[in-house]
Amino acid sequence: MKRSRQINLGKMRKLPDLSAAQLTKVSIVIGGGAVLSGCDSTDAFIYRTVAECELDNPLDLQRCEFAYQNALSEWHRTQPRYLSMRDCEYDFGYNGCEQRSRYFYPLMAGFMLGENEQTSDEFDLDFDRPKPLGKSKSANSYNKWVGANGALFGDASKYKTQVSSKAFTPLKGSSRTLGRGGFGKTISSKSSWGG
Amino acid sequence: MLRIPTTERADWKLRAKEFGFHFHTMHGEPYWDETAYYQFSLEQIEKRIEDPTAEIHQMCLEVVDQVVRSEELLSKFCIPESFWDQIASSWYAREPSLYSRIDLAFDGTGPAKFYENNADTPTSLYETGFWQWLWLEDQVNSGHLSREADQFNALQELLINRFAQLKQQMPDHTLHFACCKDTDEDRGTVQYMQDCAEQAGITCDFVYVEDIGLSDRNRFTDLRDNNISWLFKLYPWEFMQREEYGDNVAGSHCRFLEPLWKSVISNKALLPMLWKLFPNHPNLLPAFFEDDPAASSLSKYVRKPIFSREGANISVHENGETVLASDGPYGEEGYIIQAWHPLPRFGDNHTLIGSWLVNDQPAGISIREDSGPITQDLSRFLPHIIL
Repeated sequence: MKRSRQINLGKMRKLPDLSAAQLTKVSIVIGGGAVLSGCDSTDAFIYRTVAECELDNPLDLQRCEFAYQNALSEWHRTQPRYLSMRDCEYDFGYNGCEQRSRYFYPLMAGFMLGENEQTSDEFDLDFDRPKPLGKSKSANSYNKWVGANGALFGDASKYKTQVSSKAFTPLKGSSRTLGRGGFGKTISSKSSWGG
Repeated sequence: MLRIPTTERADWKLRAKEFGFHFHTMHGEPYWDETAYYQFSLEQIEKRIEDPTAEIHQMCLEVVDQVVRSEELLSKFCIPESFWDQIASSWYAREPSLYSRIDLAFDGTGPAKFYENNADTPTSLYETGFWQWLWLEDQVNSGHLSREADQFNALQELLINRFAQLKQQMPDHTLHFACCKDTDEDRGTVQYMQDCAEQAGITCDFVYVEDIGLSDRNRFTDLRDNNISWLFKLYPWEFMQREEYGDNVAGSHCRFLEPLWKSVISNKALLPMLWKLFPNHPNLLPAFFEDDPAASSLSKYVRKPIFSREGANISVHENGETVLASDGPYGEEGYIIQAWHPLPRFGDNHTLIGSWLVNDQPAGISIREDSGPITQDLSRFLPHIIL
């Protein structure tokens, strides 16, 4: 036999059939979003440089450098990306962006350390989970600390703040759609193209 | 090979509605035509169509292997330079392909002649794989055709099997299907593909080509902002490569069907390359780049744009005179010429055979008839049998 031995006609039928087939197509999303837990806030310190961190934590010199490096690589993993310098500077200000290959990225402006929850000491910081921050210059959040996902962390002149402990959870590195319509334009100028 | 007039199924339009075949009539003209069918012998199918199809496909792959290694050839094929490395990697990695359709001129005797390869976005898939299969089933069940009648058409079965293989390579990935807006035909084709993939157990989703987004992580996204990691696109690579998001293909972490290397053989520059590598092959027609001095050896030839679809911008020339021409929007990238070899005529109809492959396996045929010698998008689709 040179043809398909069997085709499941039931699966090929397209007439509206309001039996089970239709109902299974309806997906129901229950719950979903992250549960907001109210009051697990923590003190956090924001340093613009390794030196600032060392000044504040003279007993933890190497750990400041370590936290800075980790923050930087986390920033590179999650930072927003722009197609033009102008767009990047619109959000992060003049001299706030750099070009790497074809794209434009905001510079890390500081890194935030929270309290170490493993110890009871109030001033023991968690150097292992630094949070990289940029400095927003966009009109509606001017001079605010901002995370790679756009979350704001208060005025950029402050170096001590209170944040949810969730603020230190690493970002997933995804995914905000910046635009649509970059494919499909040729079709309008060439009315038929099917092969 | 015979063209046999027959009676239409009385209820075929109802059947079409039932199975979602919405484009059987296009622009007021019949597209699906079951007032006749073609009849082949098994030997014609196996020796004259199936075997050459497999062989032509292998020759086309040989062309890919040569082209991806040569900057000179890549530019002759009008492939944008930013895609040269990507196409080569896609080929070296043997990124899996799904399907192709090669067009053949065949009158029942002698070797079938290869016209061109629709390797990237072949259409008329649903009509072939399902709808003509159902026609045969119905005609046999109603006693209009012999129980002995068969058809060269394992397309749907092979597609489902192929999807089951691809699923192994992309476990846990959702396969997005995409086509352009405002075309019932493409939407129907893509829906059919999706049906086949779902029957192979793949999780599927759909997005229109124009709605594909780009995320801050350089991922392509659907309308719900989900990343697209595996995309079947009924949209030609030669367009995508030149469009705004073309530059984002490289870092998109997306696997494509068809893979990028298919842009080498869905290109008319394939034809002179085949003739160069396999001169005088019985299934090939002499073909040359237009600027090749050897081109002058052809006294009657067809001039085809490097990129062209549905028979647009094709002209026929004889002893320096243009005898026939179709208009259209293509041709800016240059032309190739191919020796004139007219389609066989059955009555007033010029008949073209589309021979399908799933991966590298011949999978069936579709038959198109046109009133003129250049098959265009309004040509009719007729079923066939083997007896």
